[in-house]
Amino acid sequence: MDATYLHNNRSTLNQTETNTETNQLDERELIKGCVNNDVRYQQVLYEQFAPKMMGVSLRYCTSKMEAEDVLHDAFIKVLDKIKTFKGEGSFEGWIRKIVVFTALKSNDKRVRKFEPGSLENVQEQSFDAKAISNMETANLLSILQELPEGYRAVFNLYAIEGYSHKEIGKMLDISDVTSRTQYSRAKQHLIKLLAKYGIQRI
Amino acid sequence: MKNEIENIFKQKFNSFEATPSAGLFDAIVANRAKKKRAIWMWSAAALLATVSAVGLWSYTNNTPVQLAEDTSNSTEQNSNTPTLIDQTQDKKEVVQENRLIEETLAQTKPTGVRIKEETAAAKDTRATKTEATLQHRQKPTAEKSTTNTNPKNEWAELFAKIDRANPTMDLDKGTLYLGNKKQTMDMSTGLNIPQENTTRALKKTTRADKTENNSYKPPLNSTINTITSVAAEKKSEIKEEEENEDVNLPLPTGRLVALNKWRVQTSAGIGYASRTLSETNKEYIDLRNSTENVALSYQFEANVIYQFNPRWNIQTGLQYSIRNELFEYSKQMYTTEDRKVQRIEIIVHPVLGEIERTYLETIRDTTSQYQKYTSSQNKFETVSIPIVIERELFTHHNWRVLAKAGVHAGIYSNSVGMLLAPNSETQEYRTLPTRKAGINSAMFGLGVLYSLTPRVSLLAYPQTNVQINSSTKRTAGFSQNDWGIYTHVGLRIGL
Repeated sequence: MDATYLHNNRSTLNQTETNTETNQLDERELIKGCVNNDVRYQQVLYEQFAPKMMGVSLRYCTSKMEAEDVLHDAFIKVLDKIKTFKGEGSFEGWIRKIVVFTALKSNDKRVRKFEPGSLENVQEQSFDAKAISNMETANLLSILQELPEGYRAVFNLYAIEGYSHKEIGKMLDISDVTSRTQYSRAKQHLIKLLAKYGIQRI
Repeated sequence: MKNEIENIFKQKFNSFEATPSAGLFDAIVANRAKKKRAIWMWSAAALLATVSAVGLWSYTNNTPVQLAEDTSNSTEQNSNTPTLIDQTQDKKEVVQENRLIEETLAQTKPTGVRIKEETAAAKDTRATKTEATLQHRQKPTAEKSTTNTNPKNEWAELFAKIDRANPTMDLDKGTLYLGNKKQTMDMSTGLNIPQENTTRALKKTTRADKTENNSYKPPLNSTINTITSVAAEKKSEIKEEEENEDVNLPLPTGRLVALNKWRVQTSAGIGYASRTLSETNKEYIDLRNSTENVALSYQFEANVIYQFNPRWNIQTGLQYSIRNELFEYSKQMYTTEDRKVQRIEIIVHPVLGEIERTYLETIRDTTSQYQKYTSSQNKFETVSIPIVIERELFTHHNWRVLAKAGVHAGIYSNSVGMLLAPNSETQEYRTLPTRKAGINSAMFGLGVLYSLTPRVSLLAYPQTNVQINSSTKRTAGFSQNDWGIYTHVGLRIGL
């Protein structure tokens, strides 16, 4: 029975490889194939998620090489732990979480400075939102990568990933007040960097 | 407006994709396989180690290496009659053998053949032994019945007992350690056989001359007749021996306990521990030294000891070490206040005469001065696996002096507390890149062991530890190696 199952899936696999328009493999089948340690399923999984996850990884790292290292480690974890994915929540979200955690862990190896402090009266500054919207994502990425390590982590986690300050505090082993402060500083820093690219404050 | 920047970034990056390098997937697959292989190899190595440890254990359990003499508890035993307390063998077997000895002793004039038959009938577990050795093994008990008054025959019986309890032992010679002195005894006569290469005392020429005539030839594979004839020869030698008492080393008079090669030990240490800093900036070192004060440090250790030789042993186990330190730093702070003072200036002009000018001058007053005091109880914890070799230097009665040296392989470490950064600002250790594992250290110690009973000894062990690896990583900018002098007090129990 297994043989026929695999045979069927192989044909589906071939379809995916040849047929560009259609159908990504059914997620459940894909996971099952990866649990069975079938390299072809693993490759499909990789090809399906790698570009998106590379995008995530790049936001946390300063270079493409570093981001690829993170992606490498993260995919090893994904393939090792895929058995534990219970189907609760989205599969992509699960992979993304692993990538984010791997990136944070890898950044941990370097010095990341968090200056603890009280909440400052940071005035929200206005800027030309349209001009930012018109900017290339690649440019925004290089701005993001210019941010100091700690700022970048907090900004990514809060603004883009959508974690709360409490969750970020737990992840980075800092207090949620520190996370909040870091975030507001990160934003200030970002606005300064945006100015370099010709985005004017209003 | 407030959250606009987040929204823009979120929108832009949510759909952001990038292509990783082409060979990445192959690398993932290859490295995963490598990792799995490594895990498999490690578990195989661990299994092998466990199996060999258990094997070694069961093997050494059958061979007592040392007989410890209990001088403290001799009242319950007849002081002239040593007995063997054997916990390693099945008790039923011992009871059966004791009955056999009693039956044999009841015979007034036993013949070798008869004993042999009875032995074979009573117990067939030794069927693998040759007949000759079986006959020989019964010899001391037969001798005992005839020359019961000679205390040396009691020793022969003891050896026979030890021999029976340990089938792997040399059947022709019983080997006994008294302290560290190896003694070999003729099983049939109970005579000590001097061995030139084992006891230094017997190497002396005077003793060697005396014992030349007594040179022992083990009656291997000989018949009963030859054994009895050898025994008769030896019997005549006993009289000579008794005249030259000093040829034989004194035999123990107390209760004897059979120990195998394993000991367990647990100890706790208290000590003075500090750290060395390697930094080029002398001022920074001074600053650190002036703010960090040594507090009492502790170590706890549990070890398994393998006594592969009466003098030498190797030990391993687990050690938890905690170095305490008090960080205190007072920073002087000044508060300044600016005040404006109105001043009047009069300028004498040659034409206009006196001109009055009023202006404001800013004067800065240092109005108060206070200290910003920061303190922290710093803790540096390490869990490590010691691999230590120990040697006994000398013994005197119940006392032993030992020396040990080895390495500690760090498996976990944690640094908690505060320190002063080079910019004179306080910084927490957790913001520094510190090592979580792999802080190895070297150790050396010189200690005293006091035997309470043959099995249980008290120990007092002053020892010193020096860290080989820095507790901070290279990126921290400075390396910090702990060292400490501890005195351990504990218990060692022979198994």
